[in-house]
Amino acid sequence: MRVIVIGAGEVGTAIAEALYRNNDVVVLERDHARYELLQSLDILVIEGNGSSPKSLLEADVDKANLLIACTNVDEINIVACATSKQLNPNLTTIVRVQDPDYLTNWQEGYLGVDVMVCSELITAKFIAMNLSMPEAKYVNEFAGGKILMTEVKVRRGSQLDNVTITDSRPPSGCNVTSIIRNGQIIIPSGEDVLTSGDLVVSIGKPKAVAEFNRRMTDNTSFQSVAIIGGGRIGFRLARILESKGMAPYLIEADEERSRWLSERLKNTLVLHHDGTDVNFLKQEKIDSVDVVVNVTGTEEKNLLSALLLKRMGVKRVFCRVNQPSHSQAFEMVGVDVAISPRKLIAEEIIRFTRDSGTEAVSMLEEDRAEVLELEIPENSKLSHRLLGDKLFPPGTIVGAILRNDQVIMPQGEDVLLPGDHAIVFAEEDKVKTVEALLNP
Amino acid sequence: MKRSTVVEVRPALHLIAAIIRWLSLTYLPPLIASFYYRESFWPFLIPMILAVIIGFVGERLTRSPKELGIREGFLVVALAWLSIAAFGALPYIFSNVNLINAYFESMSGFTTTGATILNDIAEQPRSLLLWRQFTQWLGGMGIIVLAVAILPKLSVGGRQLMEAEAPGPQVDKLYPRIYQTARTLWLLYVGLTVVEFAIFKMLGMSFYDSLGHALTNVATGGFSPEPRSIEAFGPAIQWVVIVFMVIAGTNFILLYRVISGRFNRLWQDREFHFYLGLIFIAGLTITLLLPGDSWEENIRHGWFQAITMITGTGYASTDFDQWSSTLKMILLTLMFFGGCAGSTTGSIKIVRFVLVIKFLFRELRKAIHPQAVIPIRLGNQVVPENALGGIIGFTVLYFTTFAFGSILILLDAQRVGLDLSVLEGISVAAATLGNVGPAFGIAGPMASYDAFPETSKLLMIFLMWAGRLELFPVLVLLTRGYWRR
Repeated sequence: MRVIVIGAGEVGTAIAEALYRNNDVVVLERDHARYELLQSLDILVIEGNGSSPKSLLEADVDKANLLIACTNVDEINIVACATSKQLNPNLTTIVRVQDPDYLTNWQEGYLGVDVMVCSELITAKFIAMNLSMPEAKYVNEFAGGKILMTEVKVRRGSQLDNVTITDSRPPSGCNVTSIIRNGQIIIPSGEDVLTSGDLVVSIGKPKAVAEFNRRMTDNTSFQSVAIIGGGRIGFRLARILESKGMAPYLIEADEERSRWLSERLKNTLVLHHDGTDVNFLKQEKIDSVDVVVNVTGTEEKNLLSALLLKRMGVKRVFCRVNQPSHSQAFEMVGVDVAISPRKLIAEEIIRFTRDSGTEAVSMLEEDRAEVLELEIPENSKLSHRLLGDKLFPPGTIVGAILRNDQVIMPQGEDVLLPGDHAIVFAEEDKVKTVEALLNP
Repeated sequence: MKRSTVVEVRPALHLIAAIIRWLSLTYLPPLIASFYYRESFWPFLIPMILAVIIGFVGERLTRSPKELGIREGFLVVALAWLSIAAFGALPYIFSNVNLINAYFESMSGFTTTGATILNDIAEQPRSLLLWRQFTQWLGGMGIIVLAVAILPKLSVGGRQLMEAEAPGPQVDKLYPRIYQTARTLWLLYVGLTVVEFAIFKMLGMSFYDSLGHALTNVATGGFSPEPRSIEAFGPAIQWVVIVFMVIAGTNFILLYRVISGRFNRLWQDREFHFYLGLIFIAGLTITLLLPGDSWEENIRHGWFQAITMITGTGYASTDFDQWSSTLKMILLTLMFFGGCAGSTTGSIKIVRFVLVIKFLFRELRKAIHPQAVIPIRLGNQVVPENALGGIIGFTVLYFTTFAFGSILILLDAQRVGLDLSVLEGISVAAATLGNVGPAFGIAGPMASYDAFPETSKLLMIFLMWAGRLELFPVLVLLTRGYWRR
C-alpha cells in the first residue's frame, strides 16, 4: 500500500514508524529540521506544504492508496484531504483534528473526509475509561465493549501479593495473559508467583476482569474526580463523566474560560483558580478526592500539580504529557498514569491502516507488546484449527474469543472458526508472525 | 441659545400627540353603545373631538427633525401612559365623576388594575361601563405595543419603546421586525378575546356581559359591570374565567408558538412550569384551609382566588374579604407574583422570582466554594450576569416602593381619621402597585376605593402607573442623570 503522511510531528513520526515496514510511506513536512529524525526510517521525505496541490503531486498522490493528514493545524489537515481527494478520487483519507466540533461536522456528513479522528476526544474517552477502572494502569475495550483488556499493578499486601496464578484462582471469564516485571514480559504458567509491583495484563469478560483486578489491588471503586485544566480535553472529560452520572470538579485558571465551561457543564463544579496553589487545593478539599486528572496544556504544570496532590494524599493522579517520550519519566517520579494524546491518536490512526483482519490494537509498555483483535477469515492458516496445536508462536497468547456475540475463554481443545474474533496478546516481534497467520 | 437638557422633548411629545390622535378612534365602541342603549353620547363625542384636535395640533407644534433615542423612549412611554389615562378620564368627568376619581378610574383601567372608585356600578350608564371595560382591554396588551403595530413611524425605533412597556425582563422577538411581532401579539390577543366571548355567550351570558368580561379577563384587568363581580355567575362560567385567567397570565410569545403547533415549547419553558406549580400549590393550600362544606365550592373558590391574585386580575368568585386572616395573608403574598413575563399581568413576574431564588442558592453555594464559577440557568439557557443584576435590582426596588407606598397610605389614613388596619393598608399598596385591583377591608372586592382621601388616591395613581411600566421607565425620569448630559 502507498501511504502519504502529512506532517512529521510526534503523531506523524509514530505513524510512519508503524507503517514503513509493510508499506511505501511518503512523508510531507514543511520543517526541514524534522528530516533528520526520519532518516533512520526507510521512507521518502518531501519538503512541502501538505495543503498545496503541487507538493501533493510531487508525493505522487495520484498513485497513493491512503492519505493521513496529521499536522497540528486542523484546517491544513482538512484542506489537504479535500485537495488530495480532487487529485485522486479513489484515495482513502484519514484526518486528525483537535477541535471536536470538526468531528461533529464530519459525523453529520460534511467535510468530505473518509475517516476523522479527534485527539482531544480520544484522550478524554481514554481517561474516562481508565477512571471507571481506577486500579488499572491501562484499559482497552475490544469487540465493541464485550471484551476488556486491563493492565494492573499488584499492590503490596493485597490478597494476591505473593500468590501463584493457580492459587489466585482468576474468576472464570478472566484470562491472565502476561506479567510485566521490571520491564520484562513474562507469559505466565500456573506456577508463576504474582508479586507486588508486577503489571498483570488480563483479558476477558468485563465483570470477571474487574473482579480479579479488585483482588489484586484491594481497591474499592472511586467516588470523586477533580480535573485540573479546562481545555478541550478537560471539557470533554467532564462531559463524559457527567453523562455517567458523576459531578466532577473542574479547575481552570482563566476566568473567561471558566465561565464558558460553567455555562456548558451542568453538574460540574467549575472553580476559577490556579491548580498548583496548595492552599486553594486544601481549602476546596481537592486533596481528599479519589482521582485527580491534570490536563492543562503545560506539561510542567501538570507534573507539579500531580506530584503535590499525590503527596497530599490523592489516591491516583493522571497526567497529560505532550512529548510521548516523557511518559516513562512521569510515571517514574510518581504519576500513576501519564497520558499522551499524540500517542493515543497515532494508535488510533494505525488501527485504521492495519490489514483488514486486524481491527483494534493496544500498545503496552512503550510498544514492546500489543494486544490485537483478529477476525478469522475463511481458509486462513488459523481457521478450523485446535488452539492446543502450537498454532500461535511462543510469546503470544489468545486471551479471549468472541463467537456469535458470545465470549469464549479459550482452552487447548477449542477450535477457531471463520468469523471468530480472537483477542491476542503478542510481544512486538511476534506481531508480524501473528498477522501472517491470517493469510491462507 | 443655551440648552437646559439633553433630552429631546419635542420628538417625544410629537409621538405622544400621534398616539392621542389615534386614541380618538377608541371612543367609537362606547359611542355606538350609547346610541344603542339610548344613553347620553356627549361623554364620548366631546373627548373624541378633543383628542383629534389636540393630537393634530400637538403633532404640528412639535414637528422636529430630531430622532428618538434611548432616553426619549422612557419619556415617551411614561408620558404616553399619563396622557392616555387623562384622555381616558374624560368620559367619567362628563358623567359627573370628580376629577381625581375619574383619573383614578381611568388609570386603574388602562393599567389593568381593576381598582374602582365607583360605588354604584349598577346605576352607571352601560356605555360608560363599556368604556371602563374597554380601557382595560386596550391597556392589557399595551398601548405602545398597539402603537408599534399600527403606527408606521414606529416601525423602526419601536423595540426600545416596547421593551420599556412590556411586562418582564425582555421582549422575545418572533419576527425580524418588531412591528410584525407587535401585530402578531395583538392578533392573538384579539383572537383570545373573541374565543372567550363566544364561550360566555354559549354558556348563556348576555351579549353585554359576555363582551364586558371577555375584554377584562384576557387583559387580567378585573373590572366587571357586575357589582358582585364573577360571584354573580354560575360555576361553569367561573371555571371558564379560571382557565382564561391562567391563559392570560402565560407568556403570549409562548402561547403563539404553541398555537402555531410547537407544543414542545410547553415542556421547555421553565417559567411556565413554575407558574403552573405556583398556581397548583397556592390553590390547594387555600382549598384545604377554606371552612366550607362543599368540596366543589372550596376547590373552585380556592383556585379562583389564588389565580385572580397571582395574575393580578382582581375578579372575585366570592367575597374573600370575609375570609380568615391566614387566608388573607396568603392572598396578599400571591399579589406579588404576577404571571409570566410577556403576559398581560402586573407585579414582579414569576421569572424574576425564580431567578432571585436561584441567585440566593448560588450565594449559599459560593460561601462553601469561594472560587466556584456557577452560572444561573433557566431551563437550558444561561442567564447573563448583567441581566441577573437588573432583575435583582428590580425586585428590591419593587419591594422598596411597596414599603414606602404602604407607609404613606397608612399615614394618610391616620391623618384624615380613616379606620384602616395594617393588613388593609399594605394590601392596598400591593394591589395598586401590582395592578391587582381589589384588596381587603374598605377596598375589598365588593367595595370601592372611594373612601380613601384624595392624596392617597393620587399616590395610588402613581403606584398603578409605575407598577404597570415596571418602575424603571418612571423612576429613571426622576433621576438627575436622565435630564443632564
